Amino acid sequence: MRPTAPCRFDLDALSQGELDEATSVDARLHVAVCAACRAELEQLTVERRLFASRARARDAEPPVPSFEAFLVHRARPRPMKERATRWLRALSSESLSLRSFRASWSLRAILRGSPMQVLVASAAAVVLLVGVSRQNQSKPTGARTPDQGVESAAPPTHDVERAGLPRGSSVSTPNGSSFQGAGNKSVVWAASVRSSSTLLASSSDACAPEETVCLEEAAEARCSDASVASRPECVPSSANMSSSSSSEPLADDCGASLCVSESL
Amino acid sequence: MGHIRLVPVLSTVLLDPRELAQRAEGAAIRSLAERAQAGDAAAVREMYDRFAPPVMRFVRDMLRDPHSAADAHQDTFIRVFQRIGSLEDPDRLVGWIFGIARRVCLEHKRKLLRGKVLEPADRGVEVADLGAGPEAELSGAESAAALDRAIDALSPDRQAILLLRCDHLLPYEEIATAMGFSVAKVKVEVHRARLALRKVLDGPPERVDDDGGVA
Repeated sequence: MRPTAPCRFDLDALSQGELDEATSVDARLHVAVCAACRAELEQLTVERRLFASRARARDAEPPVPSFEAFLVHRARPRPMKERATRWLRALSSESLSLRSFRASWSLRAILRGSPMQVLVASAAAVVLLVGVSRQNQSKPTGARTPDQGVESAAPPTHDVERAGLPRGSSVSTPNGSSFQGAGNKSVVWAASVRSSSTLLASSSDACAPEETVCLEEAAEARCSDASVASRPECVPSSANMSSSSSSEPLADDCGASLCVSESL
Repeated sequence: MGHIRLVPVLSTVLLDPRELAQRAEGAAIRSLAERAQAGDAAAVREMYDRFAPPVMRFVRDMLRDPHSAADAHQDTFIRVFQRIGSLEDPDRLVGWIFGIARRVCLEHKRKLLRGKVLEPADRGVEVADLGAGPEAELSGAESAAALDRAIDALSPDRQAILLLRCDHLLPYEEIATAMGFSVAKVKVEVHRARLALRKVLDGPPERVDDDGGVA
């Protein structure tokens, strides 16, 4: 490769015709006597022709879309990801007067922003998580307190498993929802509460159409009150009890009982 | 007093016709940019009609993928029209537009690279020896393809600089605006890009790194 000679003239500008008239004349006089600069200028000229021939070869390429086509193409619906980005951009746009908010509190600003912003954002996230976890802790896990209603007393699935039911049975609540359990038995969730007559009525309604047995939740049986066990909450409406072992209604420590009906 | 008034008139008359044409072109572009900034819809359309073909050629050269080039072309003009108000120097409209096109191309290039792993054969440059006279040995589409492959072997910045200088014939000042460099740096980079291009065209099919050396 030919080395480029140091020269006080910009031969590239000379080959492009960018030098003013006086400088151009001086440069050409220099090139006439300097072999290195002459060779460089020839090389530049060859490259210019090469690029020009390449530009001519580009004539076969598809034409540029017209302005109308550009506008139509621009109005075309974009992919989901891009639309989401645009939605966020529109949300933080000036029309919603959130520009200052965006400047200081956008995710990008927080990520690259001041430690105070990161700290406040982290604190907000922690408070949110603590609130959610407390809310989850306050939810019943199967046994209910007496002042809870039936509507909120849906049995979790693991209660069905703890009840010792075979696979294939299903658990249903008085309000209509059901859970898959085991075998050929279906479990009707009575969800009775000691002092609630309405709940008693609903549980007996739930148990009424089928022959029903009531099982104690063995794992949850911490209540030793014998009177609870004799409550008629889940006493079957039909007389033909299929299982003597499950003939007496049993309740857990908080008054809830499981009513199991065997499918025929 | 009269001779003072004559000075600009005489200087205009004595100017090189090419320089006069350049000045007129510069004034037209400045006027176009100012009208577009003022919200003139006709100026926006004129701007598109005027710069869409060179920008399309530039993005095609940079991306080598027709679909990505079409998307990049569209994205470029969306940004141009959205941000025309932020153009500080209307005289630098051309460099400003090509600067946006360059950034859009870099974004699309990153997307392309994420989506596809380039095979070594894609990056190789198989060019006949151009030292004895490239035009004698290669002609038309062949020489264009060889030059394309040689340009592809350069880094994206060098590609952009070389294309803007040699293909679009932009002056150094406009390239400096497009690249965000100083004019002095642009001159140096143009020179290095030329050397790298010659090295690829003259040498074996290898990748050229950012310093102009062959990797």
